[in-house]
Amino acid sequence: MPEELEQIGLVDIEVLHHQFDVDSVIRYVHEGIVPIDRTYPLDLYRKYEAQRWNISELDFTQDKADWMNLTDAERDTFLRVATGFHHGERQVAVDIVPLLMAAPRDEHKMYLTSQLEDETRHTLFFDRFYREVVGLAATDIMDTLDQSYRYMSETFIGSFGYLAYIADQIRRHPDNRKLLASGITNYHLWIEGVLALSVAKITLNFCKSQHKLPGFHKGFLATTRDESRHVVFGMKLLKELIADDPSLQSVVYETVITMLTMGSTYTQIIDYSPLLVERDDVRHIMMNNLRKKLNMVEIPIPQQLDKMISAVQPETAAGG
Amino acid sequence: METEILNENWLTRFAVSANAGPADQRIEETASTYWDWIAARKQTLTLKLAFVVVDAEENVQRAGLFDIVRGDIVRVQPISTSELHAADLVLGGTAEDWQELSDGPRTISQNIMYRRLRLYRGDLHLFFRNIYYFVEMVRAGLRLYSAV
Repeated sequence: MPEELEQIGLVDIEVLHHQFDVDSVIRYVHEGIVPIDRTYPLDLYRKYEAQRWNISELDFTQDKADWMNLTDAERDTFLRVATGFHHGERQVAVDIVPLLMAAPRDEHKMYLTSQLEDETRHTLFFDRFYREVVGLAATDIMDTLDQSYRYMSETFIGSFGYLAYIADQIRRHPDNRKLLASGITNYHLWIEGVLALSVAKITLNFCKSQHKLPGFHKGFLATTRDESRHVVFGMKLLKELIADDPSLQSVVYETVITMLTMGSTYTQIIDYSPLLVERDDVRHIMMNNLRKKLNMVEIPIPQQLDKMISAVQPETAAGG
Repeated sequence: METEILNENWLTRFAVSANAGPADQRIEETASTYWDWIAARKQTLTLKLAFVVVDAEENVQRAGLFDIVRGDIVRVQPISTSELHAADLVLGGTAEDWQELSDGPRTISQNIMYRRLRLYRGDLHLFFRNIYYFVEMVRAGLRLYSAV
């Protein structure tokens, strides 16, 4: 493993914030921790122990000043992109438990407890940012979400609604491997591996290149490093499930087709240019992220799916 | 709404409102690609959809069936629990869920994301590959009853 990628896995979030950018961390997702074997759930759990961070370590004083100095267009686009991640974190935090219960081995379940804690921390990180920096006067977590909902394209409910419904089905049928494979494809491959990494790249590159919102950059870059464990776990588990039952490969394809079908439209167009990126760039980032995830699972990309990938709309991007 | 939900009059009024399509304001504030997507999906949608009201133990209390042909509701009827097998998709919730879907404070989109409308039976991919059709059908259908 290149030394730079090895360092990303080892440093604290202060060093991560100052010495690395989101592109390096996304490389770390795809290349840095792939070569781990069947012991991957507990290997990833140990990485969680080493990489865990606290929201209380973040100082948003400079972010508050920066936020007031952003242009209206920058603030609006930033919120339209970041809000999907905030809502996404809440959705995965509250719906991960059925997946944990249905995971095949105890090692998987133990690892997923760390992912549950990550998702909770990420939700609270965004909640704090929206209250302290954006200035939402919210009474509780759901009030923050209700107030920020207006910034999202409603097509967000496709990918995240699917998670809510598949989690409910897994809860009812925890031994059904097809449901589990579909849930992991929706959550780890699509939401975290495609949508979340795309949002992270847009917002974090803006913060780093413009030297703005340092508290957000530090917390969200650490969040992205956390996502690397989630994505690797999910792709490894999918490989494991397919190795045990090759018919599950078609479940992965069917679920991705459903995601792409829902992701081919939007309710509100987003002008990405204030964050120094264009629509086609975002689409390209998402397409690349999807192809890399399917490569990590080591399954080919069928022609029908390949055609659909190029029709995906950037507004689909959100996180979890 | 609670006292009349899913009786014949409710189902008929819902169907008329759903078939009339979204409100003008809703169309104006939403990107045209979204309506194009729904129009394309409607052409493939011929199915039987049941709505149910359940109690806290998920026992079905009331049910209504919609015959949908190419996205339009062509027939409605209240049905018994034993007739639910005829439906391709069974959607619903408690009386409280239906009240929330109708009156808010959250929108239909948010409430579907929060699973206030549950899929009790049917193909999840069929439902989600047409999800915005179902969102707008419920939004338009509940318009007569709705506060949001």
